[in-house]
Amino acid sequence: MRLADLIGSVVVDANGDHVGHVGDIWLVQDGPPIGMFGAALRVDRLVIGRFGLASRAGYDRPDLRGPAIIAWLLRPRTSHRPVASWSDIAAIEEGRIRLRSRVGNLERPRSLEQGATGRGWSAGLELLDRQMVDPDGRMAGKVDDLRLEMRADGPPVVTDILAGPGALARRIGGGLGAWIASMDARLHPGDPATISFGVVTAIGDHVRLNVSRQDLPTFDAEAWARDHIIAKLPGSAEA
Amino acid sequence: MKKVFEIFLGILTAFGGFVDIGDLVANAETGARFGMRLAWMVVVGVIGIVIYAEMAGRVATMSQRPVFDVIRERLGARLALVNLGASFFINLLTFAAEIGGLALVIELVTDINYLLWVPLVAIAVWIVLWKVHFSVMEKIFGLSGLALIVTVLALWRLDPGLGHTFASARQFGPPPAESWPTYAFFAIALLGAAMTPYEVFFFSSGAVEDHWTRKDLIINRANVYIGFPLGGLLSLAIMGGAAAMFLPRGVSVGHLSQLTLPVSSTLGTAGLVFLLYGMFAAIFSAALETALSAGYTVSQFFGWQWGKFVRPREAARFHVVVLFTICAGVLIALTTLDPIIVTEYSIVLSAAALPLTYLPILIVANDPAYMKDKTNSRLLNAVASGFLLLLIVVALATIPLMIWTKAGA
Repeated sequence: MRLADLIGSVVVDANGDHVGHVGDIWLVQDGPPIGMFGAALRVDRLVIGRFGLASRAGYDRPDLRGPAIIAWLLRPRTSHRPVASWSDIAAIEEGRIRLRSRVGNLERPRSLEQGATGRGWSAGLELLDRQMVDPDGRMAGKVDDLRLEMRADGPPVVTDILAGPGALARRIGGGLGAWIASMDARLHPGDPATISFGVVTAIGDHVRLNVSRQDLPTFDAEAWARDHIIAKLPGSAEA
Repeated sequence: MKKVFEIFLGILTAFGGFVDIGDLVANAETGARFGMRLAWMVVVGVIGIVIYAEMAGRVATMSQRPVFDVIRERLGARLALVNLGASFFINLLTFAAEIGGLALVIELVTDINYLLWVPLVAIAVWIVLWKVHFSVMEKIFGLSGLALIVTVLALWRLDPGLGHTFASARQFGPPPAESWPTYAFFAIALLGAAMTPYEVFFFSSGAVEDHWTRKDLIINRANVYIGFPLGGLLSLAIMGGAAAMFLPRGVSVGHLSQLTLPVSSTLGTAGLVFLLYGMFAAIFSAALETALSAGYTVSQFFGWQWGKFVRPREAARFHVVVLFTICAGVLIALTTLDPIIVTEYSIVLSAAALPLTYLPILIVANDPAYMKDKTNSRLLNAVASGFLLLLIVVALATIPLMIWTKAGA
């Protein structure tokens, strides 16, 4: 399963009442160890509500205050959205998630809380759309989506980063997303480029990897452009 | 001492590199039709580009993240893709206008039709982008653009003491021969010319290209706060020259050769040579900036390696996008669409697309997670918020006004 399959799903409560769409997913770093990254990221909670500019701007964080007028417009729209724990989920169907509890019983925290078991992350804000950078400082694509591994004994964990237009298309959705997906499928048949989360060394302004970008599957298109176009022009290897 | 020299050089580069084909055309046209009655809009536009370019440079310096990276993260992939489409298209149009303008400048000198020069100019642009080091490229063309100072001298000769110029600058609203909608339309054109989106894409990516760090923030501030307003004075001088020369005679500006008249009639051939040299350098530097910006925006959206700080073969897709833009720009310029008209559309559409780019910059410039202690001051936030509001109004009004006034005809 991919993160994009959860994000955007309709959430209904135990009575079948509509709660909203999954906007963001909060992860906690307390899963089984995965390579350099240490404990894997585990799906902790689903944040229900639109994940638009208001959420992305980050005004639910107390340290982001200005400009006053934009904070005033956006802040009320982000905090206190209903949040469902993974254990609240009764069933995941195609595009629909059914909860065990009633909508009134869902928690509505003010903002992302740090868990006791590991650092908490907002997938939408702190991981998706971030630039990946290799050990030489070269850019290696964006975190376009995340692959989740379902586990019998608990919530799913993040195993891989998916990158490239094919992975991005599912998050863009609609006619445009479908068009990008079909273009990409023609150029690169098969699954999107997959990068194990075990090669991630840090998540900050950029997502740092400890594998050189040439050795990543995201490099195929770059290598093609280099070999077929750029390398044929004189002086392409000079500074 | 080295730092002082660097700051001084940066200011001069920003000064000479400020004007591009959009500023030349918009300022000369409005000068000829409205006198200096829209001069206030140039001042507004310069304030806008100053505060937003400074923020974009500061964000890129503090986080090593250029503008389109920030746009994708804050607007989300979908809205950022819409912005990318619009920005890329406008940028391509602007690039086509710049090379069309360059070809017209050569036509003025050689008397050989500009269409012949379009491909040659484009090849020259590509060679510079391919071979010349970023900071060298920036400085050579920026400093050469300083030759445009002759427009200030010409204005002084046409209107000694600038009495008429200032008198008409104090009048608000259109002259009797013009209507309010065309007045508003040209106001938007001037705003779009001063604030074209490529400027922040280029400026923020340039901060990364030049390896700016926290210590260089003073260069960022000096370049923008001193260099850009000085460049804005050149815009006003062009407007003033056209106002003094054409408005009393009822002549409208529709060709680049008319831009040279205020200078050639007052300063003779020597002045004309300086002017043409300055125009060529300033437009050439804008052509470089727009071609690079096409590569910057697309690469930063998709996360590809970009920039001239690595060898071309290490940023292959970036260079492919630049090359594609140059070829597409040549094709647009070769359609024989009047470069002046292409310019007009590019600056007006620029004004319409600005909010989607400026809003994320403003939000991130306030975010300590990126900026540490270098977040915006309250005063800057107040001015920038007011500006954003203005830009949103402008964005909504642009297309209806364009249809209503038949693009200012």
